[in-house]
Amino acid sequence: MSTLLLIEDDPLLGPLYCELLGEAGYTVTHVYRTDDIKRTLKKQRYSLVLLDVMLPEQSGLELLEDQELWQGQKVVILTNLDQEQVVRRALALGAVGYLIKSEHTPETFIQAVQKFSCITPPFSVG
Amino acid sequence: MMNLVTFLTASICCLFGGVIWWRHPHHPSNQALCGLNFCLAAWAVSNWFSLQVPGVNQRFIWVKIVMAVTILIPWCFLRFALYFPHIETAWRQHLRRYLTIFWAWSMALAALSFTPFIFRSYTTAAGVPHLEPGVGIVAYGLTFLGGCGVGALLLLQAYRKYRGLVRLQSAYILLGLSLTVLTGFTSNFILVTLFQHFEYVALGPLSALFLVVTTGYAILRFRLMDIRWAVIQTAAPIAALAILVIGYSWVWSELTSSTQQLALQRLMLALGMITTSLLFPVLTQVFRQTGKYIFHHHLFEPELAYQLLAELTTRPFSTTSLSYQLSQCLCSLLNVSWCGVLLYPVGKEHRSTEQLTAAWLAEGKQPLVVYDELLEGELKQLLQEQQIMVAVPLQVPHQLIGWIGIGAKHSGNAFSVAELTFCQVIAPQIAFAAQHAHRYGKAQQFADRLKKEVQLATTELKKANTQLAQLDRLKDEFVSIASHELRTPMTAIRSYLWLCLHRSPLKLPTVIKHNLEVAYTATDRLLLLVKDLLTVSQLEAGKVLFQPQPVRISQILNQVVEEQRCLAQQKNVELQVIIQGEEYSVEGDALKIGEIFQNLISNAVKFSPLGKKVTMLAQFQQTAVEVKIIDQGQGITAQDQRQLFQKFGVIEHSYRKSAEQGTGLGLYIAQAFAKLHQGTIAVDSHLGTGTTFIFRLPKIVKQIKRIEEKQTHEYAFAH
Repeated sequence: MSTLLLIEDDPLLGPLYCELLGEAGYTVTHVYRTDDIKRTLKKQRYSLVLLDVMLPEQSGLELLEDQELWQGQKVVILTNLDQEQVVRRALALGAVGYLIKSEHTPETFIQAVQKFSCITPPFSVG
Repeated sequence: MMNLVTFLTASICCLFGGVIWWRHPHHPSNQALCGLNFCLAAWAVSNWFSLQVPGVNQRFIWVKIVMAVTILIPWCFLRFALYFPHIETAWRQHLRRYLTIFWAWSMALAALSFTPFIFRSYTTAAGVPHLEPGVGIVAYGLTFLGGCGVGALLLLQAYRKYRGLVRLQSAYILLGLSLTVLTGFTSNFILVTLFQHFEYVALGPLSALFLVVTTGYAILRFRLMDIRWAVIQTAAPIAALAILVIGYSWVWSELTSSTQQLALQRLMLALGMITTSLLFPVLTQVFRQTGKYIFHHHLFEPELAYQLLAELTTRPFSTTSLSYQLSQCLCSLLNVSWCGVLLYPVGKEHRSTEQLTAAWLAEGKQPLVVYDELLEGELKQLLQEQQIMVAVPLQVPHQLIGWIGIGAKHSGNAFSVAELTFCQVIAPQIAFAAQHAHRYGKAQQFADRLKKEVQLATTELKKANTQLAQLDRLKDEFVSIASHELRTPMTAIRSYLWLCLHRSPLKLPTVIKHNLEVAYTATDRLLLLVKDLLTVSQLEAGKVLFQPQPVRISQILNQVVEEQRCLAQQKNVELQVIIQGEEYSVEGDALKIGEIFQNLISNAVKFSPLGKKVTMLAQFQQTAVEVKIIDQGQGITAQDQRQLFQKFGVIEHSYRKSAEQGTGLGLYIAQAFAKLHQGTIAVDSHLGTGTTFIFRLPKIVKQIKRIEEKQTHEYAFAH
């Protein structure tokens, strides 16, 4: 069973993704506050982390900069910010890929997550 | 000899008196001097007769005539001294009033000269004449001395008070008078009356020559000749010649006495002539310089003056600076106490200058106003008030632009001809220089003002730039956040609509399903529009990242085709990829090229009728790779093709009216990305036969860099 950490603050999309991923067979932990994120990451390793960029306390990119926090965990950026600067910065900071939320239907979203769960090297699924 | 000298003296006196009268017949001082000269002439003649005529009685009569003539001399001299120069003081005015009484007194004494009141008798004892003075001889002597003394005092006052020509003339006249009185009065009055010595009587009238010569020189000298200069110029070669002649003679005499050889003498003669010829100019120059040094330390040097003035007037000065420099230069050159250059336009504080100009205009606009030459009048008075000896009007054609005022010389001397000529000649040059300086000053002022305005404008521009940069940053942030904030709820809407459509546990009624599908499509388009708007915003701000690296076109093409395959299958459109030629890597940004393909292929699929084929033909040519996306749709009209790559280009016929509508930004963005690669996208289409989009990418992309500046996106339509 794959464990998945969803870091998403949107009250509409967060529950939706939780539901979709749960239906797809993932065990999902959903957090968005910085403290919760750090505590959760210290407590457990996940097979995939989906990280939003625009978060209320600390942005996803700022969190990514803290290398110790992730300890080599596989992070995929999940955002609606598709400016290239953001994307390239995230990839440079160690994210293995990124998902633009608006470009995915629930079906393609799950397919993409499944791909990232299997693939290790940085790869983009646009 | 005595006869000749006497009549020469009388002639000179008469001639000189006539010239003075002719110069200014109505001027009191000229009248007085003329009278004085005629009296002196009469004295010389009557004196000669008193000594030459035979018979005692005749001689006594001539002696009385001498006395009658000479007693008028002090009156003439006093009258001259009172009116030369014209000084208005209270006691001078009093003296002028008493001048008539003095005239009457002199005439009375002249009349009394024929009575025993002055001389009682004239006798001769053993050839020696003897004159017995009468009681009035003392009054006569005192009148003569008193009149001449007061006159001398008046001239002395003028000498002390005045500068320039008046001072010089006063000095000369005083000198002449002193010599005349000393010799004439002593020889003809004191010696005769007190000591009965008649030997020197004949010399008396000759003393008049002192006065005549000095006065004449003083009056006529001005503007005729600078005597000192002439003396130096003529004396130098004469002295040089004299020395050489003496030296040559001495050498010659020494040689002839020491040797008898003719050949040697001739040789020495030749050598002496050559040496003399060579030495003459050298010695002349030495004497000239020495004379200049001794007699005139500050002799005016015209060549130097013209040179200095020429240098000064060609420099780019401001008006104030030019005035200052000219003043300094003229002061130094002319050796005067002060010099002022006043250039128009002048303010009210220069009212006196305006008065000067008015008086100058009234008196006939002379090119040079010399105080010493002026008749009494307003102009002379104005110059006297301001202590100006020479005023030079600065004129350019039809306009007076200023004045140069030159004060008195340090030496008190008058200005020489060369100096006045210099002033007159340089006036137009200075006037033009002043005009240039005025214009230069204006240009300078304009330049300064311009500089200040430019600085101000630059500061404001910098400020505006900073504000713009801040606004730009805020706009970017706004666009970024707005885009994000718009997308997030739309993503939620679309996702839930999708769930309703595809994961509904109930079978939806057809109408509801249709409505949901419409809502889903609309949301999808809206999301695409937001994405394209964000891209356009970044493109126009020049903030699109462009990171080229070697890429394989076929790989990108295949990847995009795979992504579009699902959409194509829905429309039953076949996708075919053909690679022609040997593939090579090109420099490019894989993401951007991917977007170009994605845009072109999705368009082709969207606008293809059901069951048709879309072909992707990649041709690797020698210089470029061309990727053609060929569909079998209804085609685009030529008119629409022109607007195809414009933002929201309105297309009337085919594309835009298709059921599958785009955002109107896709091709614009694709073209912009192609331009980043120095590539192009062209279209070839005919109605009814389908459309071919041709993306041409050069093999080597030169000058690859991040696009910093804002681009103007006027993409030319390429066929």
